[in-house]
Amino acid sequence: MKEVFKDKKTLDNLIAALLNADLSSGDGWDLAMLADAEAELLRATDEPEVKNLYKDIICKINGNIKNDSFVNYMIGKACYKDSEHVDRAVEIAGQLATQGKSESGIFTENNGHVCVCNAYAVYPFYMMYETKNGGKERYNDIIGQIKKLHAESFYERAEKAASDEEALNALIYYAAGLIDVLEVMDQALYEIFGKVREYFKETVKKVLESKKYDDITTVTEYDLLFAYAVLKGCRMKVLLTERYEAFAENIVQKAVVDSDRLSDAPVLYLAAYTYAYSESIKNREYQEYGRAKGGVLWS
Amino acid sequence: MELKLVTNTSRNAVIELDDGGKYYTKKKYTILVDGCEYMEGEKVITTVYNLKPDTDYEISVIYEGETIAPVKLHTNYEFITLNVRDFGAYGDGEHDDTNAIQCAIMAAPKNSRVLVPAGVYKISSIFLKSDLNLELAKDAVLSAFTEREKFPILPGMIESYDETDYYNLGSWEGNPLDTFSAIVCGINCENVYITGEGTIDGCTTHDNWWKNCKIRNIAWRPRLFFINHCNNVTMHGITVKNSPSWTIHPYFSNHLKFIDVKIKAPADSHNTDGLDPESCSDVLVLGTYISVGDDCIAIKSGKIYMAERLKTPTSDMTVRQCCMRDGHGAVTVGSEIAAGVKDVHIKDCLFMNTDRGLRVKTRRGRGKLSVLDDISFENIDMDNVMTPFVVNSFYFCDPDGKTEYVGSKSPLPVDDRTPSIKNLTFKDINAKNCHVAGAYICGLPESKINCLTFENINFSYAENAKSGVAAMMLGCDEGCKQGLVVSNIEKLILKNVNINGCDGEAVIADNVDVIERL
Repeated sequence: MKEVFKDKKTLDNLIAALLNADLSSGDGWDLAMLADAEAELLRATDEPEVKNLYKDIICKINGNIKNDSFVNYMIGKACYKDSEHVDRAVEIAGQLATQGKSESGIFTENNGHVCVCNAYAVYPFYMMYETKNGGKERYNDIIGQIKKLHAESFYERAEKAASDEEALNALIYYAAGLIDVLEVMDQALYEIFGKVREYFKETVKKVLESKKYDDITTVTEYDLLFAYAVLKGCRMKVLLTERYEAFAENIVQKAVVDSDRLSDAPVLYLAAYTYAYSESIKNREYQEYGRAKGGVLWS
Repeated sequence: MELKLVTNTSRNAVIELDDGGKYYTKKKYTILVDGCEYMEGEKVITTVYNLKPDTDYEISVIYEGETIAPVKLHTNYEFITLNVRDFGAYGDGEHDDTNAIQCAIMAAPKNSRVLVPAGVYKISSIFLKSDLNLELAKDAVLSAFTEREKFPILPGMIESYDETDYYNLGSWEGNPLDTFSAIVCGINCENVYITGEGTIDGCTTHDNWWKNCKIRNIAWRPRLFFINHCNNVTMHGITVKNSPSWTIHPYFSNHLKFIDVKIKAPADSHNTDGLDPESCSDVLVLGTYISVGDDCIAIKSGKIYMAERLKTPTSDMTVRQCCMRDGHGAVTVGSEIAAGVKDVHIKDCLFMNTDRGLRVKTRRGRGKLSVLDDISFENIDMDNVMTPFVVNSFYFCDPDGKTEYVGSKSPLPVDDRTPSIKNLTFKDINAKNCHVAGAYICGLPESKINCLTFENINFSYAENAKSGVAAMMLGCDEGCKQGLVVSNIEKLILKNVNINGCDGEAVIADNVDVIERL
């Protein structure tokens, strides 16, 4: 176990919850998210039990591939995090060539709906594929789509976010997607990195304007996903640690204190908790030991 | 023939003897200091060392038996010398002397000298400060460690507390990225003079920094010498060699002089450009010898992110009486030139065995601020240069370098991403033993080179000319003994251009609006 991780009981609780989770209660989106979150937990802890969990869930979700579905990209993203499943991820990337698009060129599913929330499902995988296997030639397509998505969907959601929880949740997914894009991109095209960073910060600030975050009583999966995005932003120096870390860490700690919920939590909550908890470990490791211990690891 | 004083410090003087030679004088000569024989000279730019501070001197030379009119000078006042050995440096090639040398530097008052005497001093990074005169004596070597864990890191971007701005420290290939601190590093300094007959040795081999060099490991590789936002910096006399990456990298710095410097790296070393001023102005490179594994001099102004933020071209640069050999390009402009390059003049130089003489590397996507203008080469001898002049507007660098957008030979719409080239002038050039082509010039079809002038140029080819690829771009096939291959130019002026021994047509022009033959 990594040196920075001192609270074994919290990890044991989480692993127990993951082992006993009723995966049948989650849909494809939830399961793909949990698989990816377990991959993150494995990176954060190096725990053999987590490795087994990750491998089991990858096998399970590999049967969930459906035509044109964004969930496939989430499965691909989870597959990319283990060398044994990279081929599967590359195979899934074939879908990018035929994925439906809106009139303005943004990827859409069967329903043709454009929403910033879909950035979480699509662009981290697309960027990961381009960075690792695609020759990075379609970076311009990725940023082109994100720019259009931002113009067409972000402001509309941002306007409603103060009073509309669905709009706020969409922004949270968007923030998580953007920080995941930043994590896997090659910074040789720094203007693209800079633009995604700008959108990410704008989104984080907009989410923080919500009154909901003046005082959180019960932590939801969306709060945890937001905490994950913020902590990763701190670790990657995209957000100022001294301004943002405490807020996100507070969410994680509240969830940890309330960890009895994990035993019968929905899959989506488990996934978000796992993400946030993993990133909390990684961020602290970076803040306390610096990059020589493996802190910032993007390209 | 005239003997001129170029500059002097408290301890040395740089003289120039112009007998029409390039870097080397046509004949050897004898230097006299106050009438006493000092040394035999063979270079146009030469340094007289071991002078005393605050003292009058008369320097003269005897050239082919004739005494040339002397120069008189008064060396600068010097307050004290701080010998790094007095600060605890061992100079034994084993102890880590970084702290001792840094201590001497930080303790130095104005008008003083930090002296590194003969010996081998192991260091990681040392940092310059303002009003510093650092002297590396003959046989003094600042010998760098090569373990990356010993080097501090310069973060690429640090965000301001109010989140409205960023502070940029590290730089890698035109972007603000985390980079290991250079072996000798200056940030926000002014009035710095690094001089002497000693050496800064990066000690890089293919077993350390040059191994897996395209992969970022913790941070990007250090430079040997990096100055960021510095003014009035002179490097003089010393030898710098075996850099982990670009050897000398002045960044957003002004009023810089590199005089009688020797820059060396093996021909098979990775990215060891000699001198890469990036977004700098008022730069003089004089009497300097460069033999490296990449471009000898590469003039830059960043990629589009930094260009749009700070809009700082490299400008007002003169390279004179230099010798460049064995690099990919003798003088390169690019490829990170998103803020433009202007008013750059290369003259009285010697290029030997480089792949290219002038090498312009640009591409679509560099942006509308990327304007190259008023760049001239004058009075240059080139020997065994594969292709003396290459202007490549389709350079396939960066992750998207081989896309249709970058490589298309058809005109694309001119927009914010389109770079431009205005006036390039080549005059009084002798290029013998060329191999691939005399010149390979490609503008963009949608943004043609405004005016390209060749005047008094002689090209001749090597007897056993080697074939090669003139420009790193899609569609440039291997060739041999080509003449002038030019495309996408508004006005091409050919005045007294002699192309002797090329295969095929001497001038192959495509999409050139006007060709003036004078």
